[in-house]
Amino acid sequence: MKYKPSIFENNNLRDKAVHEGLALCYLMESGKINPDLDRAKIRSSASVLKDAFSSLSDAVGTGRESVLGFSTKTLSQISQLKTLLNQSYTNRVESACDELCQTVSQWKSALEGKISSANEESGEKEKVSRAKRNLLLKLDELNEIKNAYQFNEKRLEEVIRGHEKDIEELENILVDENNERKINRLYSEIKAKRVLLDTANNSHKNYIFCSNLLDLVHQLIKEKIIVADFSEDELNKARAYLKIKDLKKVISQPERAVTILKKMQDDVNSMVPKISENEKRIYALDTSSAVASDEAISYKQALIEKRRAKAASNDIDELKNNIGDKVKVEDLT
Amino acid sequence: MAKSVIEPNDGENIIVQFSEKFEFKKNVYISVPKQYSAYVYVDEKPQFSVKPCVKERLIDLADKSFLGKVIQTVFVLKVSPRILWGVGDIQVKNNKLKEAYRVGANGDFTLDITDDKKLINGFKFGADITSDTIKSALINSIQTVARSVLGECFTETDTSVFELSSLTDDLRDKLIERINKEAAFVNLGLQIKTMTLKTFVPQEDLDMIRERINNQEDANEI
Repeated sequence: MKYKPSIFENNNLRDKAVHEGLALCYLMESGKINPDLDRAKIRSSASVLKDAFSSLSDAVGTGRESVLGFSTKTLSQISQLKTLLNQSYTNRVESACDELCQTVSQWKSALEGKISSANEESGEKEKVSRAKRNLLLKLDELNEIKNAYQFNEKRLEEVIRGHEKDIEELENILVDENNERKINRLYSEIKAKRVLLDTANNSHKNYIFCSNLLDLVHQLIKEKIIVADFSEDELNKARAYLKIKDLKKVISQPERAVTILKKMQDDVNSMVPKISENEKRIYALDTSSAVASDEAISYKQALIEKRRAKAASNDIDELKNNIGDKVKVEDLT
Repeated sequence: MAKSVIEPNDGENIIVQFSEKFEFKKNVYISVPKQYSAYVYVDEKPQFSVKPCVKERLIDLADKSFLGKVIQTVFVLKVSPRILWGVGDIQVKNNKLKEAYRVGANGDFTLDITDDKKLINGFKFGADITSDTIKSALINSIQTVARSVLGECFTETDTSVFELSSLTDDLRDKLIERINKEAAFVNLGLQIKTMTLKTFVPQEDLDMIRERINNQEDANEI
């Protein structure tokens, strides 16, 4: 039967959607879903969804609003969500819930006369900005992890400095010591300290690497993906790429975090082909190890040579001036 | 057949008005002034809204299926009257500045109704909701937030009691932001739209602090 906007028709469509929506919320809250899904997250999404449908249940219009589009979209999203609840991807369920909430809230706004049903384009823009907002929230979490890495970097820096001082002190004692028994004891102490120093150095290096990688991922998303004209789906994809939960689990094991971060970076890179140049830049940063590279050494050498040459030319100038002054004084006398 | 017109009363302080229950007939007309939203209920369930109009025949706005049903109209005033608020005798002790005094604040506010249905459902159905009813439902929340915001501003900060008036704008902005997040406001679909705030400290407290500061300065000079 052809739809003609009327109070009766609109209220019927609304009641049907609310009924279906609340039944879905019950399903989500009661836990009759795939056991692999994160129940806490699903419950929290269900609660938001329930509020949205309760709010819609009281929404009334004048009967002249065309709401068939909203009704069809809501019902199809509900059935899609039901399918997703039988699969094991929590993030997909969350995004589907977000979308459903968005449609319900648009329906309510249309009934209240705040937007017209023909305003699909602005709805799409709103969805994109919501996806961007969600992505930014995830980026904040990423920042927290970065801060934790930087805190660990500083802590290890202190530890390394302490070990280095200890070794230096032990070496000085060793040089002055003549007792062989004591020499042996000091040597083994130094060896043990060196092992600790190496371990700390290694962890420090890994933390720096992780922090650099995180920085790059953060920048890529904030400056390339959020700013660029990506669609809502792509933004959601970028959000899914950020494995914050996994990273949090291995915050004290930077060796394991490196693997996750590299995967994250690859995924994000795949969204923007041009980013490969930046990738090279960050891998270059990985050379921040205890041993300076040949390239860095030769660069330093060149700088020293330059400085020496400059100093020498200054000396010559000064000498010339002095000689000139002396000659002038002699001429006067 | 005599025509009956449903319209809101002029009562300034009535935010939500319930009309008498009546049977939906062809001779029923409705007037909705510009500042109002109107909703038609059947069995305490909203059925449709009516946009601002002057003596429109209700049957022209609704379906014929409502004929013979007992309906009730709810008018929601969109222009909020000014509601007074106040909180006093908040004890402030600032160890940094060695000051202890009492502080209070008062003023008025206007409301923005973000969700008419939440407001209607937040009180007993059928009884008019006045600004006094709303005030009594919200005042506790406002006072709690105001106490906390004022306390935070002076306790253990470098803000002296004599700088109170210069902080009025900041305090008001903070207060509005925090109040709008309160459950009492969210659940009733209300938000503070405008607010005035005046802070005050009892004169005897000010005199005491002033006297102590002056004495201290004199002692330093000697």
